[in-house]
Amino acid sequence: MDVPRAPLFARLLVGASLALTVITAGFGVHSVADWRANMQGRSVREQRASVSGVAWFRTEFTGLLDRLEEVLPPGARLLVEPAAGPALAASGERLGSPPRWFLPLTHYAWPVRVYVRRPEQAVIFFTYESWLDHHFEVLDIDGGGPATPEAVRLAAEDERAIDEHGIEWRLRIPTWPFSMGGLRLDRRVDGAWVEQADFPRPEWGA
Amino acid sequence: MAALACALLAWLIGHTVLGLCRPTRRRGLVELEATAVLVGLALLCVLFTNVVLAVGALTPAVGTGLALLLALPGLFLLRGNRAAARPLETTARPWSPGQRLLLVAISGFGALAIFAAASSPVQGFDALFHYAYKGQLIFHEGIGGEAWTSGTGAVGRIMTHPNYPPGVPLLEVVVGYLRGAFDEDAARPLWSLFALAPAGLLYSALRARGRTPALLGALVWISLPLLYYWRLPNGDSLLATYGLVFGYEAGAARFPEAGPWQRAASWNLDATAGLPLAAFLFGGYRCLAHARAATGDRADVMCGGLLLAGALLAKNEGLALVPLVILVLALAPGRPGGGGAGPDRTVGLGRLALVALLAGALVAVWFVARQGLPSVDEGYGARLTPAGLADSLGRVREVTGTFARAFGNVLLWNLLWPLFGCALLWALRRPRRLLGHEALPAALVVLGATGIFFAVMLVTPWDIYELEGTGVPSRLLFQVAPLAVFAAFALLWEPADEPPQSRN
Repeated sequence: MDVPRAPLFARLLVGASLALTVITAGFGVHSVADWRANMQGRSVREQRASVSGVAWFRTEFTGLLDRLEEVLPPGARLLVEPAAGPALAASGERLGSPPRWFLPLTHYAWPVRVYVRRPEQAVIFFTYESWLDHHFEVLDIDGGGPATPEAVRLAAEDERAIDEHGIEWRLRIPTWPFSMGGLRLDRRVDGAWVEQADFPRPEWGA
Repeated sequence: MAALACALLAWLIGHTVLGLCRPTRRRGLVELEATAVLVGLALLCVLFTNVVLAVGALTPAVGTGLALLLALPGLFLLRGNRAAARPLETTARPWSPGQRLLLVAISGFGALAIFAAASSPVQGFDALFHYAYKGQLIFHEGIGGEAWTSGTGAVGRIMTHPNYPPGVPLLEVVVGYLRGAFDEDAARPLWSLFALAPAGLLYSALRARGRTPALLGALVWISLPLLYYWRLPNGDSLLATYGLVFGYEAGAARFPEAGPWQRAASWNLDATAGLPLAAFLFGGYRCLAHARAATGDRADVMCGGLLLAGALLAKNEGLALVPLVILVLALAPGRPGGGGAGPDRTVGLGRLALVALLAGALVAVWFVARQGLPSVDEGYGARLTPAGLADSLGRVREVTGTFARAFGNVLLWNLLWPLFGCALLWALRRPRRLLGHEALPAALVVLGATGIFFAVMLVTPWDIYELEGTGVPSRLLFQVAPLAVFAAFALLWEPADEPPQSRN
């Protein structure tokens, strides 16, 4: 080697740091083995399914994608809204949880265009509860509808925007407790939402 | 295959740029090729940002044609560029067994970088929703349509950070052009170039200090755990180490009661923008450092401008880091870029100004278009005010704690930060020498960036510990990691006395 020109402590520190690379090298070796066991020769979908801890690779989500692809025409405009109570905080559910599936849907369901009300609130996690409040407290979508004049005005504003965007489909995703059977797809017919009765798969459960 | 084709095109495009600039500074082959790859990638970001903004979504045929058009001259300029580079080592000392071992280790980690990037689907939240989704939109709809602008209305499409720069999504789009359809997974292997090229640049930047420190510096970078994973197999550090060395399944079998076990995965090779930003910024820094020195040439100015434009288009943090690099190099004393007397200071500053102007001009169209896009984010610009910072002083202790834990997290960083800190303290023994030291600007950029990230974390609306749980501030510090490696090794190792012509 070249004549070392660094102080002893530096050479020791670099040596210790390089010793730690054994850990990363171990990761590399196991990654290769893991890949051979779980991914080699598999389809992208199977590869994704083998990745743990990623909500949008879960079979429930990919099953939903399949079903939407069967039902919706290409380029359909789909409004996603929450259903059932806004118990997010209590549920401990996070970014990729079913209630926020509108995020992965917007990417993976393309060319379906995914819309939400108040997208600015929906997209940032710490304003997500305000987004739920808009649906459940202001618009009261799971109750009797908007009660105050201000809520009626906001609901009308939303309806106008839905018309302007040409949105014809609506997917309601239960927040908490979540169940696949609770998913509901509606189609807008003459200004009214009509449930597509055959949407949830029977095996998803009621 | 499309990613490989894109890598080849980027490399040839880089040679087009280098060849057309008729460089007068002799570069080593390693520096030449690493620069060519990064410059090619940066030019792809710059070119397609401007073209898509001007004419909208391109067909794959047009996109491929444009890339080929830029790459074609590179085919003819390649031989001349390589011939003008310094010859392979013929007079240097022979490689020692230790150096050969280091080279094997670098090659092994280089192979791991390629494998890790190519073997998994894109999976992280940021990688998918900040970048891949936008890539899909750019491929099909262009930039600035309804998907980008309706996010602040009563009803609209969702987009995280619509005004984030489009450089990284566009790299995925270019791979889409080559294969005729968009697929973020197909573009993921391209990210290995952002790990390999800085290793080459580090080697060439440190080569004047001897082959061993040059190899060590490259190895410290390419073996950084944060390149390969951020999510550890277990919440406990010792168990996580066991899971990394022996596999998470072995960990789960051996210690089933020790909480959930998971596969270590996901960070910068998962197609996020931190790694491209780190690579472009370091490449740009090296070009600027050469440009202001006596040996600087047109290629340094042109490549520096392109690489800094790439950094600006990679990530919003580039908006702070690029001016920081330019400012530090403009103000710092010393003669970075190798030996020899520096040029007249005015000439050096003039070249820096040229680089800054070039980078600004290349991204100007994007920044004009950006004004029409909503931010939909945490609003850091409005929070980073004297009043905002003063209001957040109560969090100094918490934020300091998160930085201390990040600097000391050997499972993500090995010992890079202790090495950087010790190098700085060591150099401070001789402050006058430090003032003129080649590595001082790099160290100052790292310190300045750390200060900026600290301020951002002070004012963030997020809960600090929640943010720490997502890998911050390590994810931010990673953007200056190549600069930290360079500064640490350059401060600790004296230049060797080998004849310069033997270095490569």
